[in-house]
Amino acid sequence: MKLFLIVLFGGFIVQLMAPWWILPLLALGAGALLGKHPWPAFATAFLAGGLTWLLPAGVLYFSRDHRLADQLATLFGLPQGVFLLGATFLVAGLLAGPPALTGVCLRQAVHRPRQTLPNT
Amino acid sequence: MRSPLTSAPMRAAYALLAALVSAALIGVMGFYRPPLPAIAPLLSPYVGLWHNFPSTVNNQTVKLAGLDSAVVIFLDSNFIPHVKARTLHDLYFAQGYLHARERLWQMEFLARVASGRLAEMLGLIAVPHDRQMRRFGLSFGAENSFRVVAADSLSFSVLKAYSDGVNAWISGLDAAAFPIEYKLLNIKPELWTPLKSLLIAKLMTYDLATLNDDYAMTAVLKKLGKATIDTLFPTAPFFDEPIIPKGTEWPFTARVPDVPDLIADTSGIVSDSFVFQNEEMLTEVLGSNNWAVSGKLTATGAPILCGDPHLRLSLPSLWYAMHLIGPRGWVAGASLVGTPGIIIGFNSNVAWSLTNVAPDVMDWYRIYFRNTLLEQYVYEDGYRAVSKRIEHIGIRHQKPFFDTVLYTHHGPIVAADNYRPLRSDVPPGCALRWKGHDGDNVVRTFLELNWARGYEDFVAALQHFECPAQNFVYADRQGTIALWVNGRFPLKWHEQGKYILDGRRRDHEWQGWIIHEHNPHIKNPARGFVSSANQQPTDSLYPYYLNWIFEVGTRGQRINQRLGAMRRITPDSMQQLQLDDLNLIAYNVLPVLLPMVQSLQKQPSLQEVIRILVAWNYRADSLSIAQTIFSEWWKQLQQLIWGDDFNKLAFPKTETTLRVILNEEKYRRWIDICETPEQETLPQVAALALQSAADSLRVRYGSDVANWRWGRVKQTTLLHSFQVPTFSRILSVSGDKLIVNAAGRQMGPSWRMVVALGDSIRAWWIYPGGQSGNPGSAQYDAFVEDWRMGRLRPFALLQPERSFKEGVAVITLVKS
Repeated sequence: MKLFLIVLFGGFIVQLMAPWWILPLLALGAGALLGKHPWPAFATAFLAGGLTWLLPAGVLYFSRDHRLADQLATLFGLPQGVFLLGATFLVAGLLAGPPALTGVCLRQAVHRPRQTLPNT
Repeated sequence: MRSPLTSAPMRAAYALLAALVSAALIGVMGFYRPPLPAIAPLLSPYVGLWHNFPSTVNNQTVKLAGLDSAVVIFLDSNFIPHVKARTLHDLYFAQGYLHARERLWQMEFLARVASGRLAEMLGLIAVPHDRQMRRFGLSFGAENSFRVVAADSLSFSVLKAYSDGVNAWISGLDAAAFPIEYKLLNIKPELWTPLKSLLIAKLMTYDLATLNDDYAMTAVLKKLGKATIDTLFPTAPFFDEPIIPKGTEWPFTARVPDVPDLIADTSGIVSDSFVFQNEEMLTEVLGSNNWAVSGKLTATGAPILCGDPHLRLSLPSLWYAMHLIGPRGWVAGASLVGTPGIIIGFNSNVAWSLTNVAPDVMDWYRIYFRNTLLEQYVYEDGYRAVSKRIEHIGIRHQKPFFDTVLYTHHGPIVAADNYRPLRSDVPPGCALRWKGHDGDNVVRTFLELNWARGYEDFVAALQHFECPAQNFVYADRQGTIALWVNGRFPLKWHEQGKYILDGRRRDHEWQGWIIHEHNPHIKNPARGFVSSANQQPTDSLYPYYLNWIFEVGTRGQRINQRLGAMRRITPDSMQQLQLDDLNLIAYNVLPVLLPMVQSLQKQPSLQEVIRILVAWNYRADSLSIAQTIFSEWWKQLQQLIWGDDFNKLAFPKTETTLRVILNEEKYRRWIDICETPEQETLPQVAALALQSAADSLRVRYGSDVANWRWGRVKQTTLLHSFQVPTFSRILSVSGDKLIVNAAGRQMGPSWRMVVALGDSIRAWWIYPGGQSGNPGSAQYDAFVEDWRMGRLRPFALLQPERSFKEGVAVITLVKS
């Protein structure tokens, strides 16, 4: 949950100030510090990262005259502009998910994973 | 059980794999690889395409460094800015600011087209274009103009203010506000410079003043001889309707150079290797009209001026409509993006419009090098040194390409042994003498024209305008109408430069200049109107030689015929004349050709085709099927008449084909198809041509003639610089080349204007585009439908402070 919130809210804030590649860096760092297991970290960061793009893109798309999205969609072989929202979520997810997984793996490669002990 | 991840080497391997996958994804999505954009920055909602959706324009105040005082910009419902400034500096600063605000990508693109710097953005694909432009020397010409403009402090201050205004907009941009084209290419806008405005002026010169047949004519001369040229490529035009009315006497004696013993250098034309691309020649070239009628002929008693300049059609349009209000009064009309001032328009006293003259200001000189070192070339009895200009062509993602261009005193050698240009009209091994290479002060021309108070100011402004020569039509509030065929024309012997010239000979060079007062012009003619449509400027009484060929006089004749017959003219009847779509070629030849093919009506395949042609009223409207059939028939006819004798050579022009059809006896030899033993007659050739035209139309558009409608077949295209359909428009439009409404496939009336002078000026305008360069804006193509239908809109001459409620928004620029 911490990972999700950090990538989501941290992502909103840092991307207002830095270029798009700050998102994978953030996910990498957050994954290394907060991720527990590789694949869950991937899924969490994918979702959170994707949302950091989908939400503002959706606000702009639905609040303005978005014929440009339709024009660009045809350029990429998509039927309608709204498909670009899906592509945006996917791209941001792919920018955040794999680095988060990488972060977890890197930490595990450096530190031996803690032995998970049954709760006592 | 221990997970495999718990083994140290495996954990490291997984981490490495994950890192590689992440890096690969970032690389794939983050960087531009043509033709794919950098997908991550493009889709990012922090900087990407989502910010290019237009937002409503609200009243706003912008603080800018570099202004003298506040500038008020009122945007009317057409998004035309009415700009009010206290100083000329602020006025042109605001113009630059607004051009950049609406058309930044287009401006940068055009400047890069001119200077051959597209490959820096687009990569290898643009190198052939860049190299051609470098070797044509547009930058060389723009740099020469820069020196002339810089020497005139008023002109330079205007150019600098404009440039500063452009940069004021660019400096205020963050990445999210870049036009969409920059985002698709993943680049940043480059700062503007005064030189870039001059580069765009040179690009217009390149488009309008590099029409030439020298290479093609030299090949015809060598293979078929001078007698054939005199018969089939004569200097006398078919339509005897010059711009300056026939019989006009010239009150001066002219010093015209004598024709030398040798008129051409055919040595470089090697038989069989020369192939002329007739497809290129058969495409449309020119189609501008302008005219002014005096108060004698109008309903109100005040003059009316009209103009519809013809250019390559693009989206956004090259024009941006503006109304500038400054210390010297006001001026309104079409501004050319990337340059200051109004190019075609009107102010409170005068109105003017332009058409291209196309004099021969481009000649090729065969160069004879002293030896293979290519450092010296023969000139007269001695040698001259070549100078070298090294062109550094930057290429995106690649090492730059260095091209050494050899310059003689004539000009650059464009095509050489190791370089063939994209254009097919460039003879190899020849130096180019082109008026466009000379420096001139185009800024001054439009500065003076924009604030002209009357005829004397108008003529004074024209003295600064050298190339591309234009027919400037003029009308003023006092009732004067006038037309100047204006440019700086080289003094030439008769037909000098119809062929490639000898670079060794002084008598093959231009012999000086025609002085400005001797340029063909006319003021208040008895017939009550002046007009031009790119045809020959004068009849043979004019003593100087300007060119051997001009545009076919169909449009000129039709306009003059209509204007001569009209009385109590109104702005409405002038708009109608701009839309006149009578096909004068068909009107002249169909009465001869149709009887020749009547007998074919028995053939089922031609029955309907002939019936449609017989019923035709010669109107090339968008719904006409007959125009499509005639157009194809005419093309096939030219191919049949000339394709045999002129295999690999340039076909004679439309006017000669007209002569052949109307005077079969005289041209029998050319009508005959060489490959056959029989002697074909015109009826046989006409029948063959009609048959193949019908076949060709059936193959392309199906056998239902309802699908042959002219507008759909012609497909007038407004092309975006990316050449992608989604940003371009394909339209069904009436008219065609050689018709007053000269809307062709790629070229057409780029601006239509009617100005009624008098105590209060009223004007109407339209252009194929919209004020915004953003393809996502409703203003991108807001005027296209009205243009397509031939509807003009009234030009609102609003005063910003009085009209706040009527328009879209007020933008106030204040000094920071």
